[in-house]
Amino acid sequence: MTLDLQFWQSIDRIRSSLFIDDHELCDLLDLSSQKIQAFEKVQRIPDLGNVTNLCDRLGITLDDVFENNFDEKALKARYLGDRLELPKKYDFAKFSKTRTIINILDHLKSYYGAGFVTSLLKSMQIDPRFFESPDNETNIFVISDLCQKLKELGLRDEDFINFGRSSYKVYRNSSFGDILKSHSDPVEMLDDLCSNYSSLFDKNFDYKVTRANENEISIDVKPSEQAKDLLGTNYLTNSEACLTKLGVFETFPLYIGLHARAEKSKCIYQGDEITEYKISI
Amino acid sequence: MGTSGKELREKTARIFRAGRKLYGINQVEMAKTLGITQGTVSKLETAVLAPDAGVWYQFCKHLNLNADLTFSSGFIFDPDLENVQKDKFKLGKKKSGSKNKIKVRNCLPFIDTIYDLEGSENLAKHLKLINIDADVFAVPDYDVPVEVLSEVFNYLGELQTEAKSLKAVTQSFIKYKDILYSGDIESIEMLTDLFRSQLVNVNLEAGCVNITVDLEDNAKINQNFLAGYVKYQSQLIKEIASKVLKIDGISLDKIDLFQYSLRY
Repeated sequence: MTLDLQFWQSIDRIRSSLFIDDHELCDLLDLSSQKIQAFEKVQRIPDLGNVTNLCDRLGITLDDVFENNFDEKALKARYLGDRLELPKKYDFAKFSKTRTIINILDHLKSYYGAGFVTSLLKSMQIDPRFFESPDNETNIFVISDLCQKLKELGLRDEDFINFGRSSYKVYRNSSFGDILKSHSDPVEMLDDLCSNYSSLFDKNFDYKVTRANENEISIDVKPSEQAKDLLGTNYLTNSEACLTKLGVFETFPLYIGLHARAEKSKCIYQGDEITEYKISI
Repeated sequence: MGTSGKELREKTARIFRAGRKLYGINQVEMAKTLGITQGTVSKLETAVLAPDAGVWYQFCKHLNLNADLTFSSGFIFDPDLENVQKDKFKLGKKKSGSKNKIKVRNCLPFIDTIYDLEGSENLAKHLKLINIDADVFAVPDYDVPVEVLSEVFNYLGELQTEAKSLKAVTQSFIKYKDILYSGDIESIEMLTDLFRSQLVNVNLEAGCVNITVDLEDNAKINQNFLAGYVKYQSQLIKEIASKVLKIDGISLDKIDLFQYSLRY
């Protein structure tokens, strides 16, 4: 491998492990964005003074950079510090595990790259490390704000549904997936899920199977009293976050080998009293 | 390769020149090793260009130098220096033949003081006039003839008074202590170790440091220089003991022209 290539691989590793966006890289290398882009395009190495500036700021050596040989954990601790704090507006009524958001972020990463995700989270003032563990907790405003930002960036309804659909990849081999797989009938599965296990995936809403036959199952969703009370609003999320949930519902029959389509027939964010999903097997 | 920062260019240029000379490599060979043209090597060595980080890294790897330390210190520290063939720098015929050697690091506080007074160009010009290759001062552990130190010492003496020089050299010594002497000077024992050289004996006794020149070993060295140098070193030890070690009530007694005693 050439030295140039090795250098840029190290930079990529530093970028992703420290969640550094372009603006921060400019600052670390003391170079303009245009210059960095020009260097990277032709895989050229910046001047010594610029690279030593980066090394000094990150506490690594030139050898580390050119041999792609640095301890990411130590680097993170040095550069990012050890404390993980959420902005205040996300740091109460924390009924949501980060699992769902990680799923969305992974999906985004595969399409738009790690830099996009880092920038997105930073625009929400959230340390991307927060989403390294699926068991960290936030309030539901994180997912609603995230969806709102993605909508503003031009993502379509289908994209939000696909976020939900991709949850199957995450959950199919989890204990939650095992609970779903233990059923043989989709109606029984969803009824059991809504009645007994909804807190495993969402404590912000109450779920109830209202109608069911062998081809179609309807589920009503409304904000839980506890969530409404603590978050101080009846409108916990937004229409786009509901679409993500729709994608998740669509995957449930898959756990027992059945394909399904889901639609949102009522939506609290469009004037209805509840949100209703219809799942067609 | 860029043109950033004159200071950086001059610092790396000196290392490029000194490193290449020290290891007996010509510009063409160096260019081939670094994958650049001989013209670019020349521009790097004359501070027209600054190296990109990759060139610097390759250069240091090739010479088995620590890339970070070499850049941050601006000096070449090679643990295998003893095995590198000597007489790589032009130091004048008379000086090269001298048997009495001293480490470059002993000259550096004086060189640094002259640099601050005269600037790098004038310093290099003057050293050239007296047939000393200024690049040798990039290698602190390189052995140079005592005459080199003598020339530098006398040159500083021409530039300013002894009192002013002493103050500046002390500051320079303190500035360099982290780079050249690996950190803090914590005791009088450490201090005496630092000042002991091929030229000056520094011995510690109870409450007393004796500083002397062995005249037999240095019979061919200019006696005026030796007398001036041992006086200077004695005063310097006193200053460092007072300023760095914060020892109060130090007195320096002259025993004779070549012997001083520091009481604390």
